[in-house]
Amino acid sequence: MATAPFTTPLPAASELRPVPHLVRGVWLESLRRNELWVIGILLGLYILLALVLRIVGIESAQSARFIRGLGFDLGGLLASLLVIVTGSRQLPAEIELRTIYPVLAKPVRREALLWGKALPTWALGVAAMLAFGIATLALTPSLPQQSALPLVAALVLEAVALAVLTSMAICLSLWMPPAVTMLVAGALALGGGFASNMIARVSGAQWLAGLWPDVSVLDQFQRYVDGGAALAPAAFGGLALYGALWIFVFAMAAAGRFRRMPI
Amino acid sequence: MIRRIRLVAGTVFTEAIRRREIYVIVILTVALLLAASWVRFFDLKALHKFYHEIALKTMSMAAAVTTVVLAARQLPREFERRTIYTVMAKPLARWEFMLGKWLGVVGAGLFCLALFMAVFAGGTWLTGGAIGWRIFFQFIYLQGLMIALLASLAFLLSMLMALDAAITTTLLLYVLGAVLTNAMVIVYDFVGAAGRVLLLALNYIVPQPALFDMSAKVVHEWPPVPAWVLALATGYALMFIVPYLSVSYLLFRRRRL
Amino acid sequence: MVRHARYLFAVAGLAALMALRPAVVSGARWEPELSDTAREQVNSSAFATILGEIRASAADLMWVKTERYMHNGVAFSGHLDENAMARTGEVAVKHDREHGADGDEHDGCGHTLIPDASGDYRGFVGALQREVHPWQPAGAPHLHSAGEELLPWYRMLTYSNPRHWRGYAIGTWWLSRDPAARAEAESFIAEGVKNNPGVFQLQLMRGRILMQREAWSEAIAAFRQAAALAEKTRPAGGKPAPPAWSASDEEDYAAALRYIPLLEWRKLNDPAAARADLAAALERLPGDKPLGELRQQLK
Repeated sequence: MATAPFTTPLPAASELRPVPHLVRGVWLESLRRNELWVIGILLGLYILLALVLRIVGIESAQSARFIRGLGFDLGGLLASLLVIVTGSRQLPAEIELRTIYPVLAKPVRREALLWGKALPTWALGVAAMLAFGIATLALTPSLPQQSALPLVAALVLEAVALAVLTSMAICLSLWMPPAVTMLVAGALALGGGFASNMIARVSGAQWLAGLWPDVSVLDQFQRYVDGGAALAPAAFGGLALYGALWIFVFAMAAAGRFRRMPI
Repeated sequence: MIRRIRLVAGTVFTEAIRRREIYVIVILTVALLLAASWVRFFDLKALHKFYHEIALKTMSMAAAVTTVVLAARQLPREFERRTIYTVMAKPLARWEFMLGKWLGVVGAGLFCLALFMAVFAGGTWLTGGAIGWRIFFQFIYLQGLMIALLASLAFLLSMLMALDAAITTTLLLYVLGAVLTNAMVIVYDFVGAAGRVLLLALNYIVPQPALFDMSAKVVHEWPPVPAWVLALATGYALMFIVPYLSVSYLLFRRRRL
Repeated sequence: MVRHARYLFAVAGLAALMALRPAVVSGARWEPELSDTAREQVNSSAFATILGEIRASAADLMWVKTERYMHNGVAFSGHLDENAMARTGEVAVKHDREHGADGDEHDGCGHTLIPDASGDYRGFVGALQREVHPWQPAGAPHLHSAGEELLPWYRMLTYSNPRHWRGYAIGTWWLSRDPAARAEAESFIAEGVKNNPGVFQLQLMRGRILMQREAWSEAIAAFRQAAALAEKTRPAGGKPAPPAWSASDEEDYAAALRYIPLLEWRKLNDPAAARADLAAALERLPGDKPLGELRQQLK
């Protein structure tokens, strides 16, 4: 299989023109294959759980706050699981089923194909996260100190976190089999923050913590739930930049690998 | 009939153990555990419980994820790759084909579990740690039952929904298993008569993976359980495996080629 | 060179991340409005027990784990007041004094998370769970594991969340029970104080550890520090006003104030200083019985 012509390290905007078509194709494929089912099922489970909690009783403002926080945490966990599972399988499945050949035979850069796979996977995760967010807001009592701006900031940063996880899963899936990718990406998603802290403290070198993707820093739901002030613009920008850098790292590593990968 | 089932199962098993997936998972898990063992804990010597717990939990989870991913893709892949036509052209009933696939997946899952347990047992022996071997083998038996249950659930869900959805849902049930079991106990005191009937029904309808996890007893060096417990756990697993495989078969049979 | 450009870009991105992360983490840190005490009051409610296994915080999960280890894996339904358990060791001492420690048998740790057959609607499913998981009938004598087994979890949870001051406090207390690990205990509590400079209970625990090695002056300084820190949040009169100030906070504050004159008199042999500090302590805690007794003795 011939590789796409290579002139510059980064794709020019014109070379990414097929991306919207690829995204649309994968999204339609998702709908056709009933992949959105999973959001419905998980949401159903979640609503059931939230109703159970209401039955058990929300005795105080602290309890209400705790439940709302837990709701967003759980929503984030489920959305993360979804993008990891979906992202881990996108390209290996195409390669295994050989459906990748017709796509690569077209004048489409391999980078464009990667973006075409990543964007709908991310969109699926964001859709799941928003569905859980709306369910949480609807099912748990609101407190006066909880305001909209920190919530919007938290949702945006969670979307960034899902983009990091999507790019990580797709990148790892080019090196590892899907089950391994799921395990490694899942471990990094759930334990990245813990691993970063551990490494920094055990080694005594703070900079080493930067080598591990830590999406936990992008989780700002607790700030909203506790009624905290919105993040300062610089802090918000810093977090967004942190997420964007990880997406960049994974995108570059994936592009480097995918370009040379024998298919 | 048995020969045909064995042939299908053997093919799935051989294919699974030839893939690097299982070995990479085993190596990565062992590497992770070795890294954890380098962490200094106040120069304490008697840390075997801590390491046993981390190792057993990580290994069980890795074996479960491997099984679920392997199981969920078996049937859909046959349709996607259109290899089902070749298979169905042979004198092989669909139920034989499906049962063979399931047995092959369970075999591969058990192979993965066996590798992990060999590493665990070897590590325990080398480090001079104490372990109750009888309860350890009971733990492995229950893990085997859970692998069989997860494989049958993944088969069923893969016939009902997209592959990613099937994997996510099965893994979620596995991950949240302990919460589910605790919730069904605690919530009971808070609900009315209708809620109690619903909980009772859920108690028997929803599989509870936590009931196959004996790791805490191994870690805390409890005595082995009596044989009737293993029999009851086997019955409990079959209570789900048989209907899941039956419904999977019905869906598989009705599916147009 | 160009062939590997993408990998080089990825490495450059990693370098930027190494430089950026410390700033990002400090900017993103959120100090929850809920105090730790209030959080744990919430955590002891029924729904928190249900969700105990999926807490978002790894540190919380490990905290629960330490309780399970304490009872050889048996899950109890909030038998210990987490707030009290996490204090400076007194509750743990009391718990051990009442119930026995390190392999000792006792009863009365509350009810188990898994109910016994008579209170379990789940039939054979419940029977299976009681056999597969560590379980003993409520009230039956059971064993306490050695505290040493809990220590790796305290170490892990404080690595995971260095602001989990309760992990430092109770971990230090378990370490201090082993005479050979007292130096470790001192360095662990010092780390806790460094990471949580505003938590007065850690200074109190540090003072107790210093007492073990008979560093009386340093211990007194730690108790003074504890009292000074406590006074920043203590309401007038010390009347408990949870979540900001609980009854156990008041007890710890009182303990810090009591130690100062006691050590000055008994260990430093300085009754004048003891009298002065006793008078100051009685101003803050009028009618405090142990301080009153000390005043009698000093007379």
